[in-house]
Amino acid sequence: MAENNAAVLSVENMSVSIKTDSGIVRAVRGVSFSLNQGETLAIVGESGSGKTMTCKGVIGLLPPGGTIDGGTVKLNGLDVTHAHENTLRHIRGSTISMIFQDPLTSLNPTTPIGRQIEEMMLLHRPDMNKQARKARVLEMLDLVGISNPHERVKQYPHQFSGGMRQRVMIAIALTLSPKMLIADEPTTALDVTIQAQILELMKDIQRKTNTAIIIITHNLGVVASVADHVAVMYGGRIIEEGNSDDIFYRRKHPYTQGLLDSAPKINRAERRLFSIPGSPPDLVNPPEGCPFAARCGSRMKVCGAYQPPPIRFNGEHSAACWLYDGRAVRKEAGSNG
Amino acid sequence: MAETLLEVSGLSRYFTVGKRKTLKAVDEVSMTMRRGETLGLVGESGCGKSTLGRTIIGLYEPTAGTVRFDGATVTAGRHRELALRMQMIFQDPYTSLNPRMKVSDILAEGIDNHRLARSTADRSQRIVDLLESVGLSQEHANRYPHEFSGGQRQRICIARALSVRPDFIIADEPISSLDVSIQAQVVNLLQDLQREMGLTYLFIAHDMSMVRCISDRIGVMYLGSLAELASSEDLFAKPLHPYTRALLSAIPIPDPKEERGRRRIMLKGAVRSPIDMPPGCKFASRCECRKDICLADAPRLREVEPGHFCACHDV
Amino acid sequence: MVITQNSDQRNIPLELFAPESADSLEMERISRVHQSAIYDGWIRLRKNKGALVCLAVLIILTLFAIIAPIVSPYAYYQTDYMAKLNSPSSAHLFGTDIFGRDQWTRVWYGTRISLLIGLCAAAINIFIGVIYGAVSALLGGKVDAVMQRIIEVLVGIPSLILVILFMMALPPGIWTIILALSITGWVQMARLVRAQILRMKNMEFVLAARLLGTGTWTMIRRHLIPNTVGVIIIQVMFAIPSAIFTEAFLSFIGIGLSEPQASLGVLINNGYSVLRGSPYMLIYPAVTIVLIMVCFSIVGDGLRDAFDPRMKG
Repeated sequence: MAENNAAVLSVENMSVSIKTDSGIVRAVRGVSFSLNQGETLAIVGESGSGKTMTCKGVIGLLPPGGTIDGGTVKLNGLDVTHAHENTLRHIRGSTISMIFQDPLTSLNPTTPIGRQIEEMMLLHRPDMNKQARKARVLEMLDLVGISNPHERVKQYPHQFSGGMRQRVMIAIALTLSPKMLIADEPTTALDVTIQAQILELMKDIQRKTNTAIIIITHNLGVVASVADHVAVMYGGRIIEEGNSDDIFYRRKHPYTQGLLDSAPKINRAERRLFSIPGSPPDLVNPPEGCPFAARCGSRMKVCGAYQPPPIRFNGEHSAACWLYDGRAVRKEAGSNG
Repeated sequence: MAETLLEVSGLSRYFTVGKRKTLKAVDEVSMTMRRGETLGLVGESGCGKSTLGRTIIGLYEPTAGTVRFDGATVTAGRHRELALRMQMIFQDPYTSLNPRMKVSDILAEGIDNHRLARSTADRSQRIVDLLESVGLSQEHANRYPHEFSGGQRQRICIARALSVRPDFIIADEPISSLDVSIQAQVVNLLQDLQREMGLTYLFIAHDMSMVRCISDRIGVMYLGSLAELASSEDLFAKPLHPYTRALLSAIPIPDPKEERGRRRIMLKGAVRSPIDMPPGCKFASRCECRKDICLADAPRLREVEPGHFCACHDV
Repeated sequence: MVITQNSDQRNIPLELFAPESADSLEMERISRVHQSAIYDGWIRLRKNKGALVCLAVLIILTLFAIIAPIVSPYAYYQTDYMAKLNSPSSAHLFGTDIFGRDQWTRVWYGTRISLLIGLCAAAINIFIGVIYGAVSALLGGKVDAVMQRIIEVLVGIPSLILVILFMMALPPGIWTIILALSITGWVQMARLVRAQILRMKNMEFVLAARLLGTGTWTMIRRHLIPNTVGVIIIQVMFAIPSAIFTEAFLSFIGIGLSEPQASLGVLINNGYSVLRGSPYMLIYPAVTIVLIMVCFSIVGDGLRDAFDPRMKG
């Protein structure tokens, strides 16, 4: 990885809430993380854990009713939390881009894909002339591994397969060479063999362009294959973060342990899966203390009453769990090391 | 154990699309299932695994071939007779429960249809038993589906399928829309119920690693046909079909060290369109070890080793 | 290990760090309050102030239409040639018409007749439309094709011409108007119901019910109709004002109800002829019909917003 240690993105104590019919959903409740050039951060969590809203907050694309309640988001040193919509629009695409789970709904069905890639440049780069734009379109299609780019620029999204559409989305997102790419479940809608190709492509592009990538996923296999750093989210909070090896081999938080244990291993025959009982918390009335307390096997009285602070283990590895507080009666802590 | 419960022979289901174009969703599939076993059916989206399940249970009329269940031929549309033998669990727990019905009424539907309850008290006792068998309780009976989480809803669906005490359950991607920790709950529940009630499962999924946990045997489908069918151990230990090999190598393992040292078989070439397919092997367009015969002649599923079936000219 | 704590967290009593066992029932508890889908929709409707005001106006209008003619000292047909075309006064709140009939009584009586025609026409539309649409969608195949062609033919003929022909063929009266409005009125309902049921027919909860051996009739009653109710109610909210307006139009061109009966259309027609001298004759019935039309539309929109989208996940 590149030795450039300037943080492309730093998020401090960000909170996001969304107004809905059933009340105000506290989707993200104080998350902090940062990301350097050329690195990949995977945000892992179940649906409703706040992983998507964290990223939408970062890029300023919250759904109607959604607001950032607190904290700061710095992109390339610039505070975007209170930036004007016009500034944000300029930043999106040129500094930070996002790709989504379903490539079909993200593409305009009535416009040829070449034109859709070109549109990014029309919006952000008035200095480029027609030839330069056309050349860039072909270059991008070539970069994402679409063969016969000269013919395919004229085709419409429905003429592409699911995997090819996701490649086009990546091409659009990377046209202006953004410093950072957010990929929200980029392979969930794709078949396994195609997923492998897209992940390979993303790693390859990162090597070539040194882009920082945030990948949101619930698939731990995907995390293991692409991530340098991992943040595990639960109930709107980051409950554990560290580098990939910290999370997979030295995990501390009971939820991370349960999550990894409940994922079946293709390379090992096991007849019985570990399962975490219960359901995730409802973020309309978020629990007072640790969000995982109600389902936790090693719960203490304190867990339901106070939110645990992040406890740092080594380097960047930290977990928010009372078990690692000096006052806790050590019983099961770290049993899964 | 050896008793055959389900026998599918030469089963096909075609759909007409547009003008005189045929989509062969299921194309001459044959297989048998023993009582008490779990057969996992995997394949990519659009490979016909769900259509196969729905044709077996009689939701679709087969274009050709027969389904025999416990010695009798299954006729499509005769759900009243079939209901007490076969049931199905669907993929999306959000659309598979009627939003206007209380959980108790959802669970009682099969019981009422077949007059299984002797009295009102027996009826409500059965509902409570069903709820408890899937880890819910009496207090959930009077609630509406939208009040439950995805995993809870899927358990209600399982309880509904069990309400008529069937022998055979087709689970059509029951876990693919659930979160990882909830998937494990549902899979474990299905295994517990199988042990208690001697159920036979046809478990349709696209996640190979989950299928491995629950299945005794696994069938791999590609564009409407079975490419390989073998016991779980055999399929993972020595996959024979080039597609199975590619599929197994593509699944990411939740272990960074293993991931770093792994070599993937990257499939080149485009997936064939299932509409008006040319002759020859359906996988030929993406196959690493394609030969001339593969383009001319479609390979048949044959027993390569005892209990290990594969449809490939190369093995 | 580095622990960053604020003072609040440092002061947590030590005994709270004792292990506690998790309660399995607690984990399955549903924290949201128990509420039915109807209640949910009502909550959403309640937030729509415009729809609420219009609903209140409709209720008030309906109450007046029922009560006012009864408590009024005059009957709607009662003439008084001593008091022709009187301006509004304390004796006659809305004045009197050319035969000296009390306009206040006649406006509310007319509202009553107009609402009755609207409601009856809508009821017949639901009855025919729902059955036609459901049968067409459920039987499918050739039956569906034939039934759809019939609908297309009906839609092809301008409905106003059909209605006028019908009115001329039958003796005039409320029931003739209601029947005439029903000849083509159900078509839209049938189409909506058919589309909704076709969509639902392959939804997984319907398939699951089929697999449980649920019969066709139970299927319609228990699964299909309850999930179509939203669409039906909304369509009714648009069908009622449309029927009222068509009736008013027919009466206005003179082929609707005949004297001494009154509907809002008849009153507007009468008022129109004396517009110069007695504008109040036109204004009151016109304002009433506009209120009815606008309120039904806004309430219909509100209901659609509150009930139509699939309930929250």
